[in-house]
Amino acid sequence: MAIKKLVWPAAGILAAAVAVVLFVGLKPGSENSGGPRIEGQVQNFSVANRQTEATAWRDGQGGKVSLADFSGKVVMVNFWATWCAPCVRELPSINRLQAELAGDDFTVVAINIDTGGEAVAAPFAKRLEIANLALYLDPRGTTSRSMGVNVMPTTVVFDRAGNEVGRLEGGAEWDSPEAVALLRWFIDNKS
Amino acid sequence: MGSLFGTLRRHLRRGLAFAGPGAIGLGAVIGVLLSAPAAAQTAASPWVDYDQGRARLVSATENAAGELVLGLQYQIAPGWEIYWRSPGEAGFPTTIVWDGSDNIADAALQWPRPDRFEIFELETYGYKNDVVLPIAARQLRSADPVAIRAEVNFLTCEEICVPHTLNMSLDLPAAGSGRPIISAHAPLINQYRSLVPSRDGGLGLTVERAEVVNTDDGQLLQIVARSQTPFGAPDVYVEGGEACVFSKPNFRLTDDGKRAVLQTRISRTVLARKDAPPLLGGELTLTLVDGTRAVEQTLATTLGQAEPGSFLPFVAMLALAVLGGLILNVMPCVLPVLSIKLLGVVSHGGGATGPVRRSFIASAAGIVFAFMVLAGVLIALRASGAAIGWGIQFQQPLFIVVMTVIVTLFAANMWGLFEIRLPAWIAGGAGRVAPEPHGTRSSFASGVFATVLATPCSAPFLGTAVGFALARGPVEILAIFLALGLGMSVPFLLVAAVPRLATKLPRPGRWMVVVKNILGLVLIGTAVWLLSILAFQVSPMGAYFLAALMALTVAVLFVRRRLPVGLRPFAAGAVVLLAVLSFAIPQVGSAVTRAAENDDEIWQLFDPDAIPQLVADGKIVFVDVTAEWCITCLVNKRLVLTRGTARDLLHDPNVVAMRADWTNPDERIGQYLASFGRFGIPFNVVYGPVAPNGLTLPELLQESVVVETFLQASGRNLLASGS
Repeated sequence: MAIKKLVWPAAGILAAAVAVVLFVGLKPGSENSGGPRIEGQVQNFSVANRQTEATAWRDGQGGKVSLADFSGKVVMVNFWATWCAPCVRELPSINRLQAELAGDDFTVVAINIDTGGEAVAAPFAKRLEIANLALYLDPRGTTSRSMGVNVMPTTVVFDRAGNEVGRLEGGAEWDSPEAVALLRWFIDNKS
Repeated sequence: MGSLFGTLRRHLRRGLAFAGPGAIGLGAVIGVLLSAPAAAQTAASPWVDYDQGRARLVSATENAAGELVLGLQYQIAPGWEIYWRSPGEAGFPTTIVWDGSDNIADAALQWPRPDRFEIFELETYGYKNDVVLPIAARQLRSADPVAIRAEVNFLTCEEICVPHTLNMSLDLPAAGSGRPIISAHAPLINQYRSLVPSRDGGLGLTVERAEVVNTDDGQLLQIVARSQTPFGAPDVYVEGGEACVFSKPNFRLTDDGKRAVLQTRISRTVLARKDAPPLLGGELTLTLVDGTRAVEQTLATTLGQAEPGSFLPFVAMLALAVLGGLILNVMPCVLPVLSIKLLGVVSHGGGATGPVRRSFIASAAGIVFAFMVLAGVLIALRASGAAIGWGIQFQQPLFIVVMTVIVTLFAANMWGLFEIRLPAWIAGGAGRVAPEPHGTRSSFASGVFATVLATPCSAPFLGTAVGFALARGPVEILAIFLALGLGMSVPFLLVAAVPRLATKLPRPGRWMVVVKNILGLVLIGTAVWLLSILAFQVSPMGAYFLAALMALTVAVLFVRRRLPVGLRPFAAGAVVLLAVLSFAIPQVGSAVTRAAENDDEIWQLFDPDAIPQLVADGKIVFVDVTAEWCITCLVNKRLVLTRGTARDLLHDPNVVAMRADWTNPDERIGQYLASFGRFGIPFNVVYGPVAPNGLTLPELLQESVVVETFLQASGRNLLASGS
């Protein structure tokens, strides 16, 4: 009788345990024990490993720039526009990230896609005080289109060899510890 | 869990957005033209779906006959915004490329008044949910059909932004020598056309000045505006000062609410252009919005002085609401409740202040509670899109019957005909031998009851405050109604604070019986008034029947006291039976159709669609929106409309008088009111050659104001040409 009484609670505990195991097992970030931790500000970052074409874009002086120019570095390409509130919101944090992390191993490439080009983007960037970020322009959207970007903001991370290792659609605080940790993981783990 | 759910949610919301490299790209997300659904669409392109909504082109006519009235209809997923012609601090507006179109010229997008949305702490102007951007265009060759090919570019944002390009096509046959055929989309397009700010100031709204004011902590933009009718909650959208972004202005009303001063801080933001014109002396385009009225004016800024006075619009409205609530207490419908409550204290001989205090606080709580319930109901109705206003429950016959029964029993109690449960429950221990003096629960109930009785009474300021709240959002409605409740509780709270006010009344005696008899009569008066509403709503027969039932009830109660004790339960049973019987009246009575008889032969039935033609014919149209339950309307009718010059004006052959009866719910009247930014009645409008869009009159009419408005609308020659 007493044992019978215990059957249901025991089954319940067992079910709960199974649920916890499944939940932990399915949680992104821990699904791949060798991968980076994906949490907090960058919880929507989707890991990938693919060849992503990226046609050349322009710098503020009209010169052509492409991913090859940053070969050997982990590159974080961020697409922004003056009309995009979440982009405007996250740019200062990307500016701080660049100050913290840029060097021989890493750089941010922030590409403005306003059709008005430099005339619109340059004064805007100046007022936003994002001087750590070089002004790059893609006024016709060819680069963003080549990378399959159709949501703003989108941030794509490339490894040292120029392969895409993941992207985040939507805004984030890019100098948050979890974002910095995510990028450091790519710097440290992908050659 | 959070991260998993978040990811899922974003993917669901975004749909196909992430289709991988090389897929549809930014700036050229070509919408897939779905094959036409089974039901053939006329005067509309097929819907074009995009990830956050769908859009199509609609036409107000089935065919093309010169002028084309088109619309770009959006149905936007919840939470997503599209932008006004000036997007604010971020965003871009819809643009249309007409390449490939044939036989169409001068296509121009029009912009209904926007709303303000804050997105990532940036102020933006735009639209959410359903919107139609009207398009005016012209057919080039009248003999040929029109082919419309539109490439629609727009941005939609929520937590992310997605630009879209959709292609739509719509063909309209030529009307040729035939007439234009109005399509099913015409009402919708016209509804949004009416929301496009007027540029000729026809709505009685004018911006007088736009001034730059230097203050200690920066510059302000100060706008002075006038309205022929009192403002509700004016707002202004500023365009032209590229260097500046303006947040929602504070406003202050003077001159009986007909003059508004709006102030907003001038801030230079990241959006500033290098070559932006100077603000002072530069031209600004101002879109002044008040309720559903909106006008657009362009004027140069001047240097101004700050208008004195504080800019606390919401606080001012709250104060107005408190005042309105306070005044409710002396309105005929509520006065008996307060008086009875005071008498209740007297009848218990005063003395102990503790229970008195508790009882009055409970009543105050009951009032506030009832107002909160009312606010909740109004918020729910508003969310469901119903036309709402103060006193709408008086459109329900059953409510009126219940109120009549309660009021009658209440009166019988006042006359000392019985002294049991019901009155004690309601009157908060007003009965002569209430079992529990000043019971907290019954006091609470009496507060609720007082509020319910108050709803048909409009008090000064109350309409303004409620209109303000209903034009805003749930938070404002709750706050304003809380203020109304507190205002109405003031006398109760006063007694609670100083119980001697009640306990120091003369000792009970002969005088109390007299007062009670008088109050009983007042209550019977209220019952008669309720019956008159019922007569109009259901049928005169129903009202007579209920009156007879009530008279019988009072008679039974009167006889009951003279019956042997053993028979008294039968009498009580009879009263209950009579009450139950009366609740059947609305069902029975509604079967009897009520003749649409107007007390005065000059009144025509309300027909807003006929007004433009009448005005074009040189007539002056007077619209009176009224209801049997609207006391102020009755006052207007008795004191102004049926007397003196106002009566003569209404009888003038040049004048068409229309009466809209809102006694029963009527969607058309509700929408008509809403088109003026009003949610309550009385409501009167005068249309004339000079005022084709109508001049609204204040709620409480005065002969001089009516005459003056007639003169304004007519261009001042009415009296000269009349008799």
